[in-house]
Amino acid sequence: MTLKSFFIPVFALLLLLTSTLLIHQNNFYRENYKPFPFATVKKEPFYSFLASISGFRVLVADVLWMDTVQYVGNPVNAGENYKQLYTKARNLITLDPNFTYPYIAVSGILFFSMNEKDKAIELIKYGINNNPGYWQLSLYLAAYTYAKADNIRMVIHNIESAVKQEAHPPMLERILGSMYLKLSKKEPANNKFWTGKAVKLWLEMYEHPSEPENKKYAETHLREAGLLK
Amino acid sequence: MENKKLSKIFAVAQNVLNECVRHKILNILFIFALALIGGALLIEELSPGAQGRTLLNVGYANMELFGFLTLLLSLFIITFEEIEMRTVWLSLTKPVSRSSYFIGKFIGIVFVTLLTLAVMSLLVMSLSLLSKVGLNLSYLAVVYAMALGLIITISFTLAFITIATNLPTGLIFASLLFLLGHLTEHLKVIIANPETSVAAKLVLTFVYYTVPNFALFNLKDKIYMQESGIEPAYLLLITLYALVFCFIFLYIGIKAFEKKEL
Repeated sequence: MTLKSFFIPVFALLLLLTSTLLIHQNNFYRENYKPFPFATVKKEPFYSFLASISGFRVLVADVLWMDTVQYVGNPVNAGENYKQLYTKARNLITLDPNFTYPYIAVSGILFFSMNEKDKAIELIKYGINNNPGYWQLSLYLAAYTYAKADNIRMVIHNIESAVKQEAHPPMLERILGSMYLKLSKKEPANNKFWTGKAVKLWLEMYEHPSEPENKKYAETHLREAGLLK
Repeated sequence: MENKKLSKIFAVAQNVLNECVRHKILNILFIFALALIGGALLIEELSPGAQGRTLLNVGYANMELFGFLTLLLSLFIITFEEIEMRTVWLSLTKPVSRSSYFIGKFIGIVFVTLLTLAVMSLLVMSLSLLSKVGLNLSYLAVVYAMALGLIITISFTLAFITIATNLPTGLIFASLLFLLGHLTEHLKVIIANPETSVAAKLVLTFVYYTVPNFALFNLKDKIYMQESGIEPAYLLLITLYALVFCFIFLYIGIKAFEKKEL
């Protein structure tokens, strides 16, 4: 064995060790390479778990989101009040806590459709902890907190701000319409004002629907109000 | 003298590139990758509220998987032809030294893989533009890190094929190391666990430092974690890490190739 053939591998190994240690000292590595949540993440199906730990974690979270959407869209699951929805949402956000849309969409369903107010608030708080820079979540938390305290004016204020954001769940517009109606009944003195706001919203939803269900919703209310034949 | 050696290396690399591009299997793979990325447009319909994200994530996954398949098939075709058709004898009697031939083969496969990756990434970029999905420099950083991971894979696959007695064994071992490399990062959890024995900790620490850690190149799972983008310093460090690993595997491969009976 020549000195050269001994020196080259030793030098390479030292360089490898140095580069690995330097990477471990790097800020980006320290902030983003956190231990995988083995204790809390769902292990079944195994291929999904294997894909997550092999570098496709975010993609698996996307697939789980598609599964959640299909679950919500199936009328059979409505019969059992979407009892698996919260579990499904937890599974996907455990895998990818930075996937912000499910926090908004699922907490909205939990709070306004399923009356699972505490779970909705817990979910949105978990989202805020993991995504402090995504301020929209705080808006939703404010709306839920006020709704829980029956402060509908503040709920409307927060939902109106949320609806102005481009990436809001379409369901939120229907919730806003229902809140206007609720407040018009609660405050008979301002009935005209809140009904007027509701009509304006329905017309907007009818003319520029963000999803077909919103158009149907608006159409029904506009017919009831006698504004559509 | 050095110029002559370099020109021989690039001549071998060009030959490998030509062979791979001419080969029908690679063309089929290429079309298949294009079709699959196109399918991402259908998948995004199923993901309301996260269409842009899903489109990109499916694109990244396809790029990585097809990049891996491309390098595996290219290596298989080139090595099979040089052994079965004895083309390696022709090249080595030119005269081209074994080390030049080996490095040329490595560079050729790297070119083929990067070519495939570049076309796939351009396609994903076009799909994103059509779907009005915003892309920033992080996209290029993800593709760059992916390319580094694939280049390491080429180097150790070449080394394994050379050391192994037959081609399939080499490819199977290389695929297993590719999978193991994606799990290396999780060894830290086991090493940090107080219940793990000292002996096991030593073995796992050795594995952690000697097996390529592909999680370091997996930026597609990290881009949603922070808003400030990916640090250039980190990209430089993983480039150094990839270069060192490539050097080690190429060194092992060349030594094995020089001693191999053809």
